[in-house]
Amino acid sequence: MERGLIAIAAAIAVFAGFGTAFGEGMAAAKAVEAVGRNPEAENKIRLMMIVGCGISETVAIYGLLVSFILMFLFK
Amino acid sequence: MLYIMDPTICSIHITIQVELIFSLIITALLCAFFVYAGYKIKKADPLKKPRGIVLVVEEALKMEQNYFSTLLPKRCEKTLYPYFMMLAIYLLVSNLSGLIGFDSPTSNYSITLTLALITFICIQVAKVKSNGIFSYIKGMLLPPTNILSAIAPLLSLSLRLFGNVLSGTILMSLIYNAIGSLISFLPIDILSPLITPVLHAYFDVFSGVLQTFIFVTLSSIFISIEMNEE
Repeated sequence: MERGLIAIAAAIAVFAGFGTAFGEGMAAAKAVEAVGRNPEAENKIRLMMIVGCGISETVAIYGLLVSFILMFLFK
Repeated sequence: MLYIMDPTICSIHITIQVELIFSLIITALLCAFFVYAGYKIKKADPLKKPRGIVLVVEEALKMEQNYFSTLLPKRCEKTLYPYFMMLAIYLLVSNLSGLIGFDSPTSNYSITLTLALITFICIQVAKVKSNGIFSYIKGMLLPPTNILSAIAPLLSLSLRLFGNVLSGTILMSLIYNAIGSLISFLPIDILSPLITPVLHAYFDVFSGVLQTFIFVTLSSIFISIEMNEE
């Protein structure tokens, strides 16, 4: 019973990736638009997109961390 | 997490984790490298073309000057630029050290917390220097929630790096276990040379380099916000 509840809690914690996926997709779409408008700035745009994606990925990583803690600490 | 030493001295219990030993090894290797590079640079002839290790160090220094001059004011050229370059080199080596079988030191929370604590102290010192001690205390206490916003960069910086490296390590060990249990059904082991190098390239190389870059960039931005720019 308790283990099942912990598994459900871990799954809900990973749900933090939902918003992150939306955000990263939007960033990539905007980067494609920007490259289409100004192809000379491709290198700068790629770097900025990767850094922005890395920062917004943090939320998903927090969710993953919480789910790992739930799985390995409360078994 | 593995504990290799567990001595009890005068009823104080001390635990030395294995990542801390790896961190010390990496620090010693980097120290040896820099002492050797300094010796080579001192002996080098400034009129000739730089070769070998001198060329590498000169290019790295040029890159450091170019990159941090866009983030930090010019007057901390001798103080903060070398610190951040050193931090970047240490983080890069320790993130990539998972490839040669080390337990990556950044997968231990004490190390990332220490690195973020240095940034935190730098932020507070810059705040005190630009505002004066009384208005610093006043600004910190008057809405008491400002204390939370002062602690937030400490937590977010350390947990970002730690979570990325630790989740990579845990996912890699889960995948290794899964492949190990699948091998018994197959005549030859074709899965591990196909799957694991790609995942190592993502979790260790790509993620490690990206997180190093983000950690250094974010800490320098946090510090430069608090500095008075004339």
